[in-house]
Amino acid sequence: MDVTPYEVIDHTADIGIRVEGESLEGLFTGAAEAMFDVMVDSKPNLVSSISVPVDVEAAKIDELFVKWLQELLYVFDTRHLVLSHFYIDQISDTKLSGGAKGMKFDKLRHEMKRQIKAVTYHMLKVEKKGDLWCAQVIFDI
Amino acid sequence: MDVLRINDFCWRIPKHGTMRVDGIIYASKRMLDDIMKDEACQQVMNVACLPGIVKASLAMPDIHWGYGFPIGGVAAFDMEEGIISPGGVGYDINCGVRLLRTDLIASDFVPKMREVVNHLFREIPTGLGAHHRDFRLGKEDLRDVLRDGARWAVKKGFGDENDLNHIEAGGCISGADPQAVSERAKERGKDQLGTLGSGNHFVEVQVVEEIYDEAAANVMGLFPGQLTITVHTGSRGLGHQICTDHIEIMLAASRKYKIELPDKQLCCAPINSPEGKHYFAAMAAGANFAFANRQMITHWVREVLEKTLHMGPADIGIAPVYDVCHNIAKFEEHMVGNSSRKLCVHRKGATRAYPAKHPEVPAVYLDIGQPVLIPGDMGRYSFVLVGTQKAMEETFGSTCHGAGRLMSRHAAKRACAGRDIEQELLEKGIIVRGASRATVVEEVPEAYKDVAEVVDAVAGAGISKKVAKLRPLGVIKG
Repeated sequence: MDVTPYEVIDHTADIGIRVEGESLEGLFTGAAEAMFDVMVDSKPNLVSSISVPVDVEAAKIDELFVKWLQELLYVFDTRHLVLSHFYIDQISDTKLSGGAKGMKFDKLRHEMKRQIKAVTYHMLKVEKKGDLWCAQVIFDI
Repeated sequence: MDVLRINDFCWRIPKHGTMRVDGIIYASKRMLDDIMKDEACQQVMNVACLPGIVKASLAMPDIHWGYGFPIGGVAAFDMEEGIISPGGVGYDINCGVRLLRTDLIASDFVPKMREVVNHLFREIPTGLGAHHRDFRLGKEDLRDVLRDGARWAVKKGFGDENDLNHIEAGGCISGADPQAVSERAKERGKDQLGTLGSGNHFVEVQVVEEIYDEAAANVMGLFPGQLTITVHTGSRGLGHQICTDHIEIMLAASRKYKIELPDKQLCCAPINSPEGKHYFAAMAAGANFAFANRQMITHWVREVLEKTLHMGPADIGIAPVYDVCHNIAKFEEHMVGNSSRKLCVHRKGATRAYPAKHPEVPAVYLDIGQPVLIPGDMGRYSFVLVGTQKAMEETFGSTCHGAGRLMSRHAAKRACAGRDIEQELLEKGIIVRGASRATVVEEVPEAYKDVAEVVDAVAGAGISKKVAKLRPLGVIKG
């Protein structure tokens, strides 16, 4: 699957990403793609058929961003679903409704690169710069 | 930022601005220059701003920047005025190290090392979704694991009672409450008990290369040329989720209790608040999960050696030397001025290092002090130390925890482009098997500080004493 381009942040112990989106929805889905790309390499043209709805709330937009990624990480860690095809139906600064589609991790189709322990609040940023939404987040490896 | 020399291995950042206490960094001058390159010093100063902090915000020589608290940080808080913070423990609650001794001479088994490493790789679950074929955890069992830690594992036949005498806190932190752990954390943890995890976690077969303190080594059952094994792992997804859950709670608590935070990840609550008590109860449960985890992996290491070497347990003589936490918060008694006070000591990437005669040191080690296990990278060496009275006086009985990273994972990947790391290590006599190529590359030895330098700094500062050096022969990584 083609992953929306993202930048890796050099952090001594762990890994961070910087992402951009033309919309808030694009920012959130791009970040999700990047997080899974940090964890897993997938063969191309895989069929993702398992749907996972995601509904999260938070006090503000940056915490909402972290909660969205934490929810997806939880699904990966407990159900071993490699998620792709993320979508956001509704989003505000404090509430998000959306989901993803994915498939079960399969050694023949996926290669595990690194496990993410948690999505952190370290160096967290979600902000609008001109016409673009930008975010950065660090993952604990 | 002023950094003033106290002695060759100790530096002070005088309190200023909103700092309530000084920052104290244990490091050589050369190491300090490296430490100043990332945000670690700023994080030491940020921790010094937290309410109820006692004496100083401390940093060990393996310090590097983390989330809120630096990795390699130690901070103790007054029980009435102080706080407890998940960021001061870390996501991997009770990530820690266990050292196993044997009666074997390593050189006799070098020809079998590849077979041992392959067998360990097969038997110790490492990858995503991996679990031991003979083990499945029920819901009731998980509750007991969280309450009883390594004691649960021994009751279930993973090791014996005597193992518990060689684990920090007897392998069980009291005050753990399984009900304080969220369903989400239990869901993440239930299939991960008895698994290694990835990143810098490992099982490593070693040889005792050098003994520095023969008397202490004798008591620990260590001798030159001996085969030893080290296990490094923690509380897996359960601990990570407990921390995640409680950071969210503590963000709200910090606002509720009007605690000024220089950094969001320092979010905290007063120790005796409902939020503070809830976190401690959950954190202790997570710590117990990790103790049980290392106990189970030890059992499988025993089985692998018996099957691969075709020797019985009495001939191998495998037994824990000690097991230490390096991400934890504990209630401990320490002298502050002329009086003994109960404090909440946070160690995040730091190890307890109690001296001889301390009542919490196992009876067998009372004369020498608590063993301290300091793993290095997979290409060089690890060390065994003991705690000292000076550590009690200066660092709340604490010392370093490992090498500390020097290079980011991305930088390590760039440095390893075009190189075969497994082959390079093989040429040094070290067999490595990793569940993922990315992990082996990111854990390349040069990505880490030289742990010898870290250990020399704590020894130079007098907060630990060197006992032995261990060299890797075979490593498995998740």
